[in-house]
Amino acid sequence: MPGAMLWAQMETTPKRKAVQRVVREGPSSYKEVFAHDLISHPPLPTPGPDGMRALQQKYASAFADLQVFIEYQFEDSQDHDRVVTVWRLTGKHVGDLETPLGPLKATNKPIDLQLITVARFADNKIVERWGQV
Amino acid sequence: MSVENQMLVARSLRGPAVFEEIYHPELLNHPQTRAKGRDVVKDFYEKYNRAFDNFEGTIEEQFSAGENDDLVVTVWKGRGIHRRELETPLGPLAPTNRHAEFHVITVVRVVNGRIVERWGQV
Repeated sequence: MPGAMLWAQMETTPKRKAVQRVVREGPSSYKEVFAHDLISHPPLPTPGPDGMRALQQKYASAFADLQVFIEYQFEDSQDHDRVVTVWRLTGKHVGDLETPLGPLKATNKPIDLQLITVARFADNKIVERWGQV
Repeated sequence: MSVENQMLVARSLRGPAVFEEIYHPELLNHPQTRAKGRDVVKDFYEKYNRAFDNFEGTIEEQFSAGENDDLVVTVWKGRGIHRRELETPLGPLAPTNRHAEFHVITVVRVVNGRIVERWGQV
């Protein structure tokens, strides 16, 4: 995903780093970051890392000048296998965006969006993810 | 404490009647362009209940997080019949008059039995 990150005060545990690679290295990192049998909630159009690529493409075609920032990352305090990431996306809404509630029409206006995702790890890879889309 | 914190967040499913005891009056909302206070949460609740008939929220996943174990992460599932326009940060979503299901993720910080800080997609 083309973009920049806020590195300030970013504590880098291995799991947080893995999620940060998604921004820093883009789709070329997906096969190393996501398990081949990744489970997604809601489900992706295609399973595994290819599904994440499809998701990235979806955002890239809906938003011009897309910048992706990681604002906060938290680790779960019981099993230590999950990372929560608060993302900030900026850009311009130039294409329709499919959502579980139907399409969000392009407005050609600037966007400044907060998204939250949860990633569950096993064997150093993300095996399950939760997101709004 | 973390189980109590999770139960506190789950109680918010009862709606605005319990918001005063659950949320701190000076609730810090993220992104911080949002106003402070619990009216922000009440507005979200009312917005979804207005847009959907038979609106129902359930908890799909929940766990505690953070170095101090003071955060609660919740994956919510909302469902209902989408009858009226829903305002989103990316503009309005037109009603489909069909049953719809969607996920929302929130992170809250609990201090002394009250939610003092909130990150939410909505």
